[in-house]
Amino acid sequence: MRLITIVPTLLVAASAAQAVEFHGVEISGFASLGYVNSSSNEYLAEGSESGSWQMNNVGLNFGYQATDRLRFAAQIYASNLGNAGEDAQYEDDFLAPTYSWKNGGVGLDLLFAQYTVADEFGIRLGRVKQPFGLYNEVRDIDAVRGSATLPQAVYDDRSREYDFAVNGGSIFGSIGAGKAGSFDYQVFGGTIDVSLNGSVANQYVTPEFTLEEVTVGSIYGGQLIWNAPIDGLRFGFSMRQTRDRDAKVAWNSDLVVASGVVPIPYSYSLPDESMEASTDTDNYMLSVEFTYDSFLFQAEYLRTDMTQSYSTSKLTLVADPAFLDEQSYELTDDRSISEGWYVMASYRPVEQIELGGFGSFYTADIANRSTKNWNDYQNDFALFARVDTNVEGLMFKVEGHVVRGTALLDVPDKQAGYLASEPTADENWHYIVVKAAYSF
Amino acid sequence: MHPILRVSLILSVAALIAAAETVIVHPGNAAASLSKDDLDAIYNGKKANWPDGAKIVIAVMDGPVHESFLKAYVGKTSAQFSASWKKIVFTGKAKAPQECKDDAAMAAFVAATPGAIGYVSDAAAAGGAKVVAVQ
Repeated sequence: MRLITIVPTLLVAASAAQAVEFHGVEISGFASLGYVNSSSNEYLAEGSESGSWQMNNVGLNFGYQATDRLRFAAQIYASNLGNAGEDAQYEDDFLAPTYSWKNGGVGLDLLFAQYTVADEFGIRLGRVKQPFGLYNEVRDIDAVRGSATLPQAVYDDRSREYDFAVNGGSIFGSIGAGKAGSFDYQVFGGTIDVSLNGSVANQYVTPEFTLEEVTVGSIYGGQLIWNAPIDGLRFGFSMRQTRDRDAKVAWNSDLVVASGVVPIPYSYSLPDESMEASTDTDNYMLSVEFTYDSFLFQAEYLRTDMTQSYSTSKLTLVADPAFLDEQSYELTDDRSISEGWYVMASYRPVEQIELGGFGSFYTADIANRSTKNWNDYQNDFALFARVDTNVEGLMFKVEGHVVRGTALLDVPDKQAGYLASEPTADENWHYIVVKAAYSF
Repeated sequence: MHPILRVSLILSVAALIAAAETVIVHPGNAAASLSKDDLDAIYNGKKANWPDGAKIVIAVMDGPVHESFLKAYVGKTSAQFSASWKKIVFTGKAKAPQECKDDAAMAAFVAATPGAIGYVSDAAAAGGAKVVAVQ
């Protein structure tokens, strides 16, 4: 079914040499069809251990230049990135259902009105993408990069739902600085709606809890790019703050039963109260890019400072004492600081071929960088090749990864929680990605 | 002359010769000249309007003239230029450059489109478009 959907899309798009214009409305688009095969951990797509085609996306972009300074833009998007979870018991879409055609949904990536007052100042109102790092605004577009996937230590696809766009607005501009080069800036703010079945919600899932509601108060931030007076060299600083991401959770008795930890027959009582977890997150990113002829070098460092507080300090599970002693959680406010960074290099020996590689490194707790617990880090080394065909916009990619650690897997993959069975994820693993992508 | 200096000099002269593309604009455009920084900003999507407020319409064409123009004034290869405009288009910020197949098509498009800017391989190919100096 997914092949039936994506192939006609690619064929129709392939018939257009460039963006189409219809009654003044510019129409452009992109699509990709991917295959992922993971040695373990079902990474990126459900069933990837035996090879999965659930790595596809399609987007259509519309633009209309109403006046010399006023522009309208919209983009619809659908993707299918399978299920990151290893255990079907916790099956969730890796991305939000609103973006998954598996659930019949199409997402609205952007919808804004843009007014350019001058090169130095413009404003956008509506749903706008979040400028963050070199790739966040275009993380779905294969045409803008050589690699098939982005370094997950910095561009974690699980977070796309709230990292990508906001309902609000932004201001932007480009300011010349003479011999010092120039500066580009964007500042944005707004909020988002969070799906209960999406990737954000998935991060709250444990065997013990059911997520009842997630809301986000606000997301705001900005980006400053310095285009240095050396051709091809630029530096960037991005920041983003998410405030009052509140999750309401309740004990999940079904999963307690399903976990098989508590023997049957048994009797138990569970607290019927719900608990609210409130999270504030600060993200900071440093970026550098240097292009020289056909060489490209990029490096980015991301630091995430997260503070979580709870409405309840203690939760208790009472089971039949014959089978299980009374268990309780002590909940205290906690703060964690994680970091991720990558270094990427690529080269085009000829116009149509790009070869490259990257190293991507993630640490869940910077206070414990030397940890031996492989659930707390994930290091990924990748080599990739991109071939642009003679059909303009059509390309093929192949990429291989060697990975150590599992910190970027979802909680269910690691079977966290005291009711869970032994972790099922593997420490050392690898995966390959093959893609066909098209844009016009 | 030291061999390395001689090679550098030859390469510099070759680069100047290669950058001999003629920049053209719509005949109604008041600009008599543009700076290299102007071209860099326009073709990198950072300058959207002419001084009189008119929307800038960018035109490009495939082939060696395009490569040479990009290298001289935009600091990108064709692949890098294409990728950077994909970023701009798919974030909704601007319209993609108009693609023209050769000098004649480029000159005709620029001459007929208010606010347009492009380039041709030689001033003689400018047709009805206005030639501007690059300072």
